[in-house]
Amino acid sequence: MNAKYVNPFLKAVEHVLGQFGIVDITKKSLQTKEDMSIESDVTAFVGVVGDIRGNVAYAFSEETAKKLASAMMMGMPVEALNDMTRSALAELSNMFTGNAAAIFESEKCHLDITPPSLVVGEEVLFVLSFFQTLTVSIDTAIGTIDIHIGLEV
Amino acid sequence: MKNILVVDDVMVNRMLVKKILLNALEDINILEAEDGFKAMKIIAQNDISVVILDVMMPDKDGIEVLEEIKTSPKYKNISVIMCSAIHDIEKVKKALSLGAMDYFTKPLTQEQIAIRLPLKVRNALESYQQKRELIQFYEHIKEEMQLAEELQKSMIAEYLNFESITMYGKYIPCEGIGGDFYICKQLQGKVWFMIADIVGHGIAAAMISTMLNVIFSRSIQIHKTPGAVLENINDVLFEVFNGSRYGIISAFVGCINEDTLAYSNAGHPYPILYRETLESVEEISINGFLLGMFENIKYETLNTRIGSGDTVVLYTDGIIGKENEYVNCESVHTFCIKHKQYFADNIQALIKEMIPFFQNQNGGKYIDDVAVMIIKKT
Repeated sequence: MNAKYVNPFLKAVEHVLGQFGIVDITKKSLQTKEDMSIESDVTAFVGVVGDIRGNVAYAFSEETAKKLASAMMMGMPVEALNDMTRSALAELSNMFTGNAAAIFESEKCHLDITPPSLVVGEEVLFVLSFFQTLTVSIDTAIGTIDIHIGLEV
Repeated sequence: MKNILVVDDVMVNRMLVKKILLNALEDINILEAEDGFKAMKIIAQNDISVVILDVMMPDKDGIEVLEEIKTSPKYKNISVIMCSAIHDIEKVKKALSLGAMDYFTKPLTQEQIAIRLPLKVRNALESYQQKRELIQFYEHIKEEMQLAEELQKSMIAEYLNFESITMYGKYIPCEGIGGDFYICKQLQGKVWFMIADIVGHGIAAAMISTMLNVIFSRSIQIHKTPGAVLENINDVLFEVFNGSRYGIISAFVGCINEDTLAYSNAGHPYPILYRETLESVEEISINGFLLGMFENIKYETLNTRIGSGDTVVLYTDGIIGKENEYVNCESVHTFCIKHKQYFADNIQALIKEMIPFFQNQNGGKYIDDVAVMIIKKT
């Protein structure tokens, strides 16, 4: 998969996090897998259809997830992953992907996104799709975020 | 307490907007709906001032809800603020064209949270409040107008029958109430009548017509001739209005005493006289100054014989519809000649045809008050 399909997602994550005051984001690693298998505490994922199709997943540790939800909810303290915080994380993944879609659109590549889903639980391994998947890990002040991009291109 | 409805399928977004608004605004109550169907249900059951509406929602989206609100006579005044993610900005444009008041984009930035969103909602609340007050004010005025209209109608008869005179009349004010006026009274064996057209229309003109009723009724008790009655009315109007445009009136006064018609004119369009024995239709062409413009004007009184079946057609210039042309009776004259057959036994039909006939000539709507009074000697 070409890097041109990865950059919009990275830019979008950076942009949205910036709006919540999370700056100083660094790329930590990049790896390729044959499928989108994920093993994280919390994973939010969104389907993509249109000129390109596949799935994008944003995965984090429970701690990072709580901090992200808190940032999204105007700094409200988050003790546990309840309905409200799950809604916040789902919406966040929607924003990430929506922003990426807008960047693709500006490059004449149209895509629609499906409503976000959330998987929460320790020691869960799930395989979301069987396309070749690129995983970019980024470091932020509130922890690591893995962005899994599995597109059929 | 003003009700604000927040519609968003995402729980966290509803919570955020609710929190921001409750922090920033006083005296508000937030209701929530997670989809368009629930939103419409809440709108139907509550008095909602402002709706904050997410564009993207499953099943029934924000645009559909907006359309439903804005096309409903009951809900269309509710202020709607749209919200969307930045990539839905095309839909926001559509929403604004459909009547949404404002919009904001998600995610909410610090600036939006602190300043913009509360300000937008405050403006929307004010706008709704103003619209409501305006509607209430309009309803109030409409009620007052209806009362005044009823009062005026009670003053203007459509049919009167005296010993030797029958009066038929029709009055259509262009604004519910108006400044045309006619009156017919029997006094000591004589039948007095007057038709008048007051400059302008609406409430002010109607008030003057009420006044005219009183002056005329009093004047015919004191004065002997139509000319003297007009002189008296002119003096009173000039004294009250001092020549200002509000008190300017055209009027025609007639008095039938046995077989004599005495008459005088103050700038009013010439009435038509139908003589039954000759089957002739003629204009009663006599003129004089408009009432209320100058002091001490003299009005001439002329006399003519009037026999059984003879009929006088009086009208205001609204029926011709050409404003500022006070004496233009050519078209009424032509009309009466053409419809001569009605004079013998069907005056009601004459009136019925007369009004739409002239109304059609003026593009199908009344631009001035319209009045017709027909006096027939039996």
